[in-house]
Amino acid sequence: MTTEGMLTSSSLKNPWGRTLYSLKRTWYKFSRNWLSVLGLVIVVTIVFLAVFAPYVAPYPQHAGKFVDFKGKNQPPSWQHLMGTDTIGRDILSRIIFAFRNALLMAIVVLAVSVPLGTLTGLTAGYYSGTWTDTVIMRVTDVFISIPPIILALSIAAVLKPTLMNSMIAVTVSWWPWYTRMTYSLASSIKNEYYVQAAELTGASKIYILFHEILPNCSSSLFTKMALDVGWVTLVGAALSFVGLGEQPPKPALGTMIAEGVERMPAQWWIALFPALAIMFVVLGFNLFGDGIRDALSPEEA
Amino acid sequence: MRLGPFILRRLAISIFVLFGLSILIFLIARVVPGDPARMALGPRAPVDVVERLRQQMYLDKPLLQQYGLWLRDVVTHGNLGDSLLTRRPVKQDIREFFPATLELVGLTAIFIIIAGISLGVISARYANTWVDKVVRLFSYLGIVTPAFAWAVILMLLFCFVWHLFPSYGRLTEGVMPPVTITGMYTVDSLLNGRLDLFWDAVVHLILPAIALALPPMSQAARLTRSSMADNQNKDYIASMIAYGVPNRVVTGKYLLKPSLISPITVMALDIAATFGYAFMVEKVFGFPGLARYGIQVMLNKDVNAIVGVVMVLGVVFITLNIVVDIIVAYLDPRIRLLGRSV
Repeated sequence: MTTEGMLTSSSLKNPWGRTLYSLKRTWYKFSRNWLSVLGLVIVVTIVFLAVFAPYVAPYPQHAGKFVDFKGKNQPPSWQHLMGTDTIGRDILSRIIFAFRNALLMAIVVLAVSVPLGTLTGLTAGYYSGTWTDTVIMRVTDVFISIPPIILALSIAAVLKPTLMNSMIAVTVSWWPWYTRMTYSLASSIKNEYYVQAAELTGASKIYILFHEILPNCSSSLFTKMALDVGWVTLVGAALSFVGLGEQPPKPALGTMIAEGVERMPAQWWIALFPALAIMFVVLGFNLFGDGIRDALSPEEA
Repeated sequence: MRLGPFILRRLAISIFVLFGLSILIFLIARVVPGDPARMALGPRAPVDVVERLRQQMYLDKPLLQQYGLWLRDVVTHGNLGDSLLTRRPVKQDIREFFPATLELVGLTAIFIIIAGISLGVISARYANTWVDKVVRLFSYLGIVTPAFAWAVILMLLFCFVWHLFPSYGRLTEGVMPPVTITGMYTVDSLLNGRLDLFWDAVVHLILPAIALALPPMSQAARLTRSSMADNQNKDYIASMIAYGVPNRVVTGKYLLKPSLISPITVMALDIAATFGYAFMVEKVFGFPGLARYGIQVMLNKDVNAIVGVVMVLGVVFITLNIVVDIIVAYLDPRIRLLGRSV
């Protein structure tokens, strides 16, 4: 597919037309792969469930302090599609509410780590070979010298176990990976002719960093962000599984699995469905992220 | 062979990183709101006892001096302080629990390397046939399902539906563990010549190891496939085939070697991360390893032990990275000779 052939002069003249056009083209490439579309459907479903949880959950009151010992440990049925837990709460409703916290966590973690990582990575990459590069990248090296999950666990461990603190713990262990990715992109992009041309015309450093280099990192950044929503959910679930995240009675996927494991094998549904829910989230955002990567990559249509 | 200077340089960097990590984790452990000594001893402990523990942990000194004294103890005596939870030296606790986790992660690593690479090679060899499609679908599911979700699913199927594997612990209940030599039951039982014990230990390891191995193994398979598929179309492969070099040699020697560089790097990171996911999987399977100890000390804000566990894992992770860098340097002469990665 040649892109030039489809460009009309009117769409190029105003910048909005151009943005719209490139969005359309990206969507076209994205929608060609049914797996990407499946990913998008899953992502939209999760976001919808999370946002409208009080309206779509069959038993919204079960998300908080609620006890019904008569209806405890019920296997999946038409009344409770995923069964009830040890104190009679509907598991499906709790999963839907847990999506809220999972997404909130992903948003907060990414909202802090992406700008921080991108900024440090851009700076270090553009000034690669100088002491700025050395300082930033050696600090980054220390943070990524142990797997993020272990760092997050140990930070969460010394703080009070709350959702907020688990977000802090994950953020601290997450940003250096953005630094490293942006660094490797920026340090190679800075040698491109268009960056050198901008330097020759006397463009400011800020302009070069944000208008010449950053836009060329954006497709990798967007892809990583989409994938990371899934991974942050996973690490968040790992923290709450251990007992270092959101505290009961508030629902968290990890806590629910931990409770369910105690009840295996008799009440298998208590652990299984939250585990499948995590799988669903990570799968959705992975398919979606891979779709974005393919749609934004310049080679082949 | 210019591997020597390369390894030395790599070692120097690692020591720096380890030093940085110790500062980082020490700072984290000291931001604990409240007094670790008071927390360890409980609210009813007499003031002078708490004060003595504070002095022992150097909590009465300024932060910089605390770090200096702590580092001195670690470097000179390998002393990580006493666990506030078990009241024993952290070193002793770690020595007791680490072999179990090492054994588990070791078996996991074997699964990851063998199954990951062979699935990738099979998938690339039969690219775009149904074999390839099945492997790719399977590896996608493998990647997106976290190890502890696998643990739940596998336990349900293999322990409770089909009763093939035990669901709890390191050995069948009531069985005496082998005489401690390394602390790893599989190794110790072999050294003692107890094949029955060896088998019992292996059976208890298999399911948790598979649960831990599935996500990284799938990742390795995917990477191996894609990098082999990339290299398959290179000119040097075409010329090998044109010269009449047997297919087996082309694939096994000339195609596989350069294609393994990126999977090996990622596998090392993943095997190291396995120590992290082992925290959850050990909990599911009631496996008494370092990770389960780690969870206990973390839930109890036992700062000395947290720092100890993280530092031990840091050393393991950094060592693993050096090993991988050496393997990669061996595979890729550009790194070995020019000292830079590509």
